[in-house]
Amino acid sequence: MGNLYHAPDVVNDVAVNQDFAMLYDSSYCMGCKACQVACKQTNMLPAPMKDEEYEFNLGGYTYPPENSGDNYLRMVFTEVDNPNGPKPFDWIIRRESCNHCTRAGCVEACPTGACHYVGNGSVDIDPHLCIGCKFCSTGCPWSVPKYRERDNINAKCWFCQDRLSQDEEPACVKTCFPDALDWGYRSTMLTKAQKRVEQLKSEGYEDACIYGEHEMEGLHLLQVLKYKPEVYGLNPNPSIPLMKTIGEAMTPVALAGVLGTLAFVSMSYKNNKNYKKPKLHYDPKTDETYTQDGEIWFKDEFKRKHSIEPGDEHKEQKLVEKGSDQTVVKTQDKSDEEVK
Amino acid sequence: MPRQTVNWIERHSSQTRFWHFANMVFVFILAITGLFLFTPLGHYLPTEVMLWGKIIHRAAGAFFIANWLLWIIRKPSDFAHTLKNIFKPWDENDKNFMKYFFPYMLNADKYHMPRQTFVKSGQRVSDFSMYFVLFMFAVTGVVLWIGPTRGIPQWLFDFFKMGHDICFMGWCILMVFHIYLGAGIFPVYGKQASAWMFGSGYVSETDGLYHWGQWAEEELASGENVLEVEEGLTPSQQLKKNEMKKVS
Ligand code: SF4
Ligand code: SF4
Ligand code: SF4
Repeated sequence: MGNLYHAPDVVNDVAVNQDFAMLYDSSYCMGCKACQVACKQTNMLPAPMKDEEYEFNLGGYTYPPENSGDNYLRMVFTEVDNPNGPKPFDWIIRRESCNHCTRAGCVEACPTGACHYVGNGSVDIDPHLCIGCKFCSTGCPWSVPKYRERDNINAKCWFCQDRLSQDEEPACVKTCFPDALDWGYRSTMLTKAQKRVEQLKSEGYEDACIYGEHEMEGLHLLQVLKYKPEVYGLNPNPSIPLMKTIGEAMTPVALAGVLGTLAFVSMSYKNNKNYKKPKLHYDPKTDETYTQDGEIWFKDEFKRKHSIEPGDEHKEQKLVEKGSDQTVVKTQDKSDEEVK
Repeated sequence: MPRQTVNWIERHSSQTRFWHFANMVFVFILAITGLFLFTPLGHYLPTEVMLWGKIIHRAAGAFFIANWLLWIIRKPSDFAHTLKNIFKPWDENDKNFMKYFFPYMLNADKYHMPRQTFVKSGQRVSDFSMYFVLFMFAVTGVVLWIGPTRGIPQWLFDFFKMGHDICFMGWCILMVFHIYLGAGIFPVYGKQASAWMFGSGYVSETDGLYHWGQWAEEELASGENVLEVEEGLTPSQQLKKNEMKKVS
């Protein structure tokens, strides 16, 4: 783990208690993917160098087909027919990376504390604490954290905390020349985004919106979109996955279940503390089980077996006595043996 | 003068007891490591411990599955017999046993439980639940180990993570019952109950008849698995003595 590119000591110096955010304006983005390259470079993430290493990706400009432990950011391209909009056909782009949620499911799902809020709006995975259990991905509405096999960790965009600590903006922001990406206080980014959305609306993009203003209690990656989030393949109402919520609820449920069961067994223990178990023995001659007092033990079945109707005490008594006699005989056999 | 003897019936073979013991060890390791891996308790442990916890959890899981597979492969008839016992139809006695079991646990004096076969109906419910939960633990655990990469989609990984958590909840409750009854903390069963699985594997005539009346009666009638134990000796001591006699 010593070679992992992550600088926790430096990260500690990042200004905390300040709410920073990244603004991505899809209406300015030209899809050059320079941000993807910058991300790879600054985080020293290996890229496929040989033909056979490329992942097959048919019919689209998006690459790679999905993010991975070695790819934190990709631009997703979609072609949309939009006859009512200002353009009848549009090639739209969105940014796919960690959204740095205010309420981050990944942080809630991580058992080690590796996934954590940095305190400046970013959410980071500390690779030195990560054990590669992959549970953070189950807590994320977009399954963002991905497994990196070579280091046995999950990894994702960390808003270049090392650069932030040096008063530099994240690498992707720095590299984006049409200024589709910006970095600053979240409130400033939000104001800027709102203005841009108004402008887009006036240009005929009536569904223009900000993705991230309220989602997950506020994302720190704000995206200005020209159309509804669904058009970009974005979930308009992201939430902590239900399966994660159910799974996590099992811990308190298990605790309550165990406490309830313990209460039940404690009651059982208390009530039966003085229970005296009868001494039983089996008589092969009658094929019955008797107590030490010569009473038939499985009485109900005995009655059923001998068709003793309720109230027919005489018949029952006779049969029981017969059984008792034989019990006595058996006991006497033993004493005889003893005498011998 | 011959000493008075008491009948004991063989309940669990040494192989079964060893198998159960191995299961217990693996499950114990899985439970302790799992507690830290699957709950926020892990935040309080150093990463190295968590990392080792994860490795040990997986190794124990693999050994646990192997223990079961070995049993199924080596003794398929035993496994088939176990399944048959679990799924055999319930007669009147079985239904009554289950109906009165919880009230009986609360006040054994008030209830007279009906004759039972080798596996009581209550045990059948518990065995089924345990086997089911363990099976689900194993399947979901393997997926958690492999995924969500290598052909396992994220949704399946998420689903099985939830499944693993639900199994954990079920397992905790089952274990409280299993330990309370199986280890004989339940005063009616008495501490001798633990010896059936952890001791000699023999059950006394009186306990056999009390718990599994029909089975014990059949065993005592046939005498095949019955050991006559001299008063003052334990079944293990008696077995040793019989062995010595044979040798001399
Ligand atoms: S560098 Fe800027 S313009 Fe280029 S793809 Fe990234 S966000 Fe878009
Ligand atoms: S987008 Fe996913 S990985 Fe990123 S902070 Fe939110 S929950 Fe965590
Ligand atoms: S993979 Fe790492 S960051 Fe993700 S939940 Fe596990 S320990 Fe936490």
